[in-house]
Amino acid sequence: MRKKELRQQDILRLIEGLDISPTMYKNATDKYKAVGTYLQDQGLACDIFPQGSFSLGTVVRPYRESKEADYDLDFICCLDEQKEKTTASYVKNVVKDTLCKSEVYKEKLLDTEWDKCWTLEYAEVNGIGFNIDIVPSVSESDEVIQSMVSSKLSQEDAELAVAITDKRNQNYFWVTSNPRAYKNWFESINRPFLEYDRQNKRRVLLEKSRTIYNSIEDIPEGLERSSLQRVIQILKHHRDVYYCRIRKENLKPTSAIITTICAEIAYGMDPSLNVFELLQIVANDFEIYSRNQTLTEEEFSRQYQSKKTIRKSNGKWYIMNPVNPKDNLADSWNDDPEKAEFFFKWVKVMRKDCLDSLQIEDNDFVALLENNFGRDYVKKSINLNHYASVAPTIITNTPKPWRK
Amino acid sequence: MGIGTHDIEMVKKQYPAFEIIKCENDYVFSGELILNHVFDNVRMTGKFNLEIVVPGDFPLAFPTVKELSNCIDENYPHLYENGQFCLASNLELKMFFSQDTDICSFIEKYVIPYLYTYRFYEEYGVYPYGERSHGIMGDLEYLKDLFEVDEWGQVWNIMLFVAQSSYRGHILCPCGSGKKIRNCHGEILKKVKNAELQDECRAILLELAREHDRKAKNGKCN
Repeated sequence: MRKKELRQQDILRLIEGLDISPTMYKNATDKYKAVGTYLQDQGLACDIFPQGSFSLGTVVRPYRESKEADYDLDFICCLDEQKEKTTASYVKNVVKDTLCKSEVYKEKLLDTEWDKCWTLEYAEVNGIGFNIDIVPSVSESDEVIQSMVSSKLSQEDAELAVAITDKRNQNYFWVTSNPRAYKNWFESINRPFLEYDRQNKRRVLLEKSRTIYNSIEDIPEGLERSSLQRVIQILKHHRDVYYCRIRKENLKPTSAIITTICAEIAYGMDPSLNVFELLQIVANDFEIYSRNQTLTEEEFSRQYQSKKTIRKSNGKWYIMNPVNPKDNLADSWNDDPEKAEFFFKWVKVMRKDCLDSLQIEDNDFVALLENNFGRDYVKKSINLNHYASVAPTIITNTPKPWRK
Repeated sequence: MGIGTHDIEMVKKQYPAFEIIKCENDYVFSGELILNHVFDNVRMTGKFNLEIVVPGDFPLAFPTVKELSNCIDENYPHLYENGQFCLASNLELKMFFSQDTDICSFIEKYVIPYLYTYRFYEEYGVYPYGERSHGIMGDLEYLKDLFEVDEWGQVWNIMLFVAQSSYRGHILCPCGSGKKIRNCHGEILKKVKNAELQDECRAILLELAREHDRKAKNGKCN
């Protein structure tokens, strides 16, 4: 039987393979900056910056029906306009109109108008491309900023807030978002994990990206990955596959929920924890939080005083956005209670697949890897000769079970 | 009647872990069956301790299958109360055994897919290739798939044909396509006739008619 540590290395290798490559990272960075320069040159004063997984270093390749899909990378395009003196409709459309003035961007621009963004499609030479999602926005108004401050957000963080646009039934609305403050919050927790054994990790990274970077100093921080970031990537990918299999993709927990909970659990933990030690801690906490489903609010807070990330109060779920005290990330769980139910089912399966599986028989373990990462991908990424694995037989007849 | 010696030898060869006992007129195959199968890129593994009973009047009566070491949750919806697997609709099994009485291929085509379905359901809470409704409806669904038609009315007409008429290639196909039988459902109707599904089709039609009358009566009372 292959040793636990070596199995962990194999899982890590597979998850690393779903991360954005150094080449694509550089390419995507160049491209989004070029979009910013272009818009400026056209007289549209703006600031363009990454948000979401690309800015947090938690990108995983999307899983769509076991096919390798293109990466979706999100960028905020913050126009130099005053929110009170413009409209959401203008902000959303002026970005598109300006992009369409260029033949290059017009060709890449997807016709579909999403509720919050425009998509530019970039095909890659090796087959895997990426999409740049551009989210038009303006700086948030003083009024909103002050109300955030009065809800106990720091002045500094509140001032980073933007108003993005949201199109619903042909009408445009403003929605508050604060990706820069979120990034600061996430980085403050991630920092010690990133610093741990950093030089060593950067050296390994350099080995992998020799063709792009000449020295350790050249490697951008955005390519580094801590244990915390890897844990989030493992969870996100496992979620994608699991919800696809159970055919409940509409109930998937958002990446914001996963990232927020993991960071809160990791807060203040020993930075030398490796990926699987940290994943174990996260899984243990998930199990505790799942008891929110059966215990009363009082019983739960009495038994687990320090566990406050996922709360249940007056029958409602709460996972607070750390940079917006008015934003409950679990709002949709309250509209659809199945979401919470499946969330706790999922984390249980995740624990079984990513942690408990390290002790099962080789053949069963390889089957798990294949089911979670795809058979072809596993075959080309790790050496299966290390495992006592027997090639499976393909099922040809598919009778549907029945009962009298 | 009963399983042939050649078939017994084939089972011995393919499943050496099975113990074979003759019990009165029945043959009982029991032992470990290893599941290591893939469907649509998802692989399921597991070990089951099976008991397959091939009755003395096989293939008139079908083999039954049980798991002996509690590897199947007793609440699994496709298990009979006596622990036997609900493998497929009766009509489907009758069709199968009319063409093939090899127990190895029965294991491969029905027992293994059943165990795969079970493991998949345990893992993901859904059936990898769907399930049939319980009872008569499941039979009808099977026939609809078998005849590859879209309308229930077509299923009804084809069943009526199976129950009442004999096969003649030049008459119009009961499915209503306007084509001659030999150019339409000819092949499948021959198989259905060979499998002697007439009685089953008649019974289903009668049951449906009774159901219809019951509903009509209740409607009047109200």
